[in-house]
Amino acid sequence: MDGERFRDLAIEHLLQGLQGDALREFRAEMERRGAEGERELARLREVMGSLALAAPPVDPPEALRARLVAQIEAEASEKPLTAEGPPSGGAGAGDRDVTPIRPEWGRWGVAAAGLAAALAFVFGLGNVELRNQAAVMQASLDSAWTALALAEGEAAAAADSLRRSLEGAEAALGIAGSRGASSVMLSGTEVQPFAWARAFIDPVTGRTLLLIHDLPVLPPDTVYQLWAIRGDTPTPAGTLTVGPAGSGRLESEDADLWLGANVLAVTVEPAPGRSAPTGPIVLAGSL
Amino acid sequence: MIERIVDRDAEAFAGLYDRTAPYVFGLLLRMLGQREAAEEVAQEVYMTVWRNAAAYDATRGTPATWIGLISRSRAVDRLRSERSYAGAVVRAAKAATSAAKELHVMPDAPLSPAEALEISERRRRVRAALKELPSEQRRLVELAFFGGLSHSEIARATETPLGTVKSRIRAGIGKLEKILTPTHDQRAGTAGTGLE
Repeated sequence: MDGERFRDLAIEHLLQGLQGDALREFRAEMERRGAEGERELARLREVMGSLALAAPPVDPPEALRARLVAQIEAEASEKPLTAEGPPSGGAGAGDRDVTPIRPEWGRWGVAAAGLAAALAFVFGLGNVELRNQAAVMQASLDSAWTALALAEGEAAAAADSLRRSLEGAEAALGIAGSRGASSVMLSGTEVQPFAWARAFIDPVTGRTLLLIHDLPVLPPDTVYQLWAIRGDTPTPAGTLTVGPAGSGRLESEDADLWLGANVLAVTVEPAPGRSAPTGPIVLAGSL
Repeated sequence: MIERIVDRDAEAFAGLYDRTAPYVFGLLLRMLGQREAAEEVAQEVYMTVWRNAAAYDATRGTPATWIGLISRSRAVDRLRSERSYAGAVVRAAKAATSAAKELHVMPDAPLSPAEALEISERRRRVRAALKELPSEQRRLVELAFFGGLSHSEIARATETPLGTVKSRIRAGIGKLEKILTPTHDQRAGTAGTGLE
């Protein structure tokens, strides 16, 4: 096997893209190359791992830390660690028994687990060293209180999200009922592959409504900006932000804005928006 | 730090989490696009780190690399479990391809002072290295890494011959390797995420 073929296979292997015959071919070649193959693979692995740092860092929710700390402190008082599963980022690192906490009931599950831990302690069901048990219980209770607060916040956010959806649907209905009205679907780009949006345009009044979904909340100093593009010329068409549920809406009434436009796009821009696009495209669609 | 986690030191684990979580969560958010999913997968990632710390092999990469690849691996598992994923990416890639022809974007805007303060030297090097790639190579590398697509899926999504996809990704990774190699040689002094 020549060097190029080996690197292609090694890259695909590290990207979890090898299957069947190609995977068997790669493994056989790795065996044949021995230490030299391992060194090459390690170099490529380091490059791939570095790519993970290219994504913008985002602070995770505090509740995640609380859950993890509670879980690992509970495990820390159990059996010692042993190596299991493949190292260094290959597929399947031996943690398949981790049960993800579903957002819709996860907070309540954590709260219930915390309460259960507390009750077990109070009624003397624990059989490990008292101090450890107290620490675990405290962590569980802290986590449960955090989870409860978050659950309450999420309920309020869900109501707010539903209200926004209904308002958006009502406004869309208003435009869709107009003669000559059209709608345009915008798809997420590779930057935000799951994002999507729909624009409703009334060409007579110029009234336009853009409803976007599944985009992340931006830092306070940035906004999403809509562009109406004629040929090579993008024209700013308004800015918007999204709520915790990832949805947002933008309304405008400028009939001239859409004359001759053939593409709609949404980019991320510094607040309060720019006169020409500078940030990555997150949504795009053709008129 | 990894050795202390092997010894079941919860404080060391919390320290590692605090240093790496924004990077892991940022990666997962970029790959999965939804905060809830990113949170779930981040939990899996850190439980893997906690339970499999003894499996970490320093000769096969830095801790940051190890955690980064575990994160990507879990995110790809999640993406592949969602049936509509491939179709969504294909549509998105096609839309982006056509939109990019229409819209002149400057994606390499300078970093803000606040961001420059926050990010690590290593992250800056990676981003700089990515920017040095020709746009087509960078796009395909990003589709493969962040999109979790196989070479064949990328070929279909971008309507590019499979051989071209492979050669561009190989060339892109090769260039990144050359640019980033000094960092690896100075591994002990890597600013990175402070794990080393």
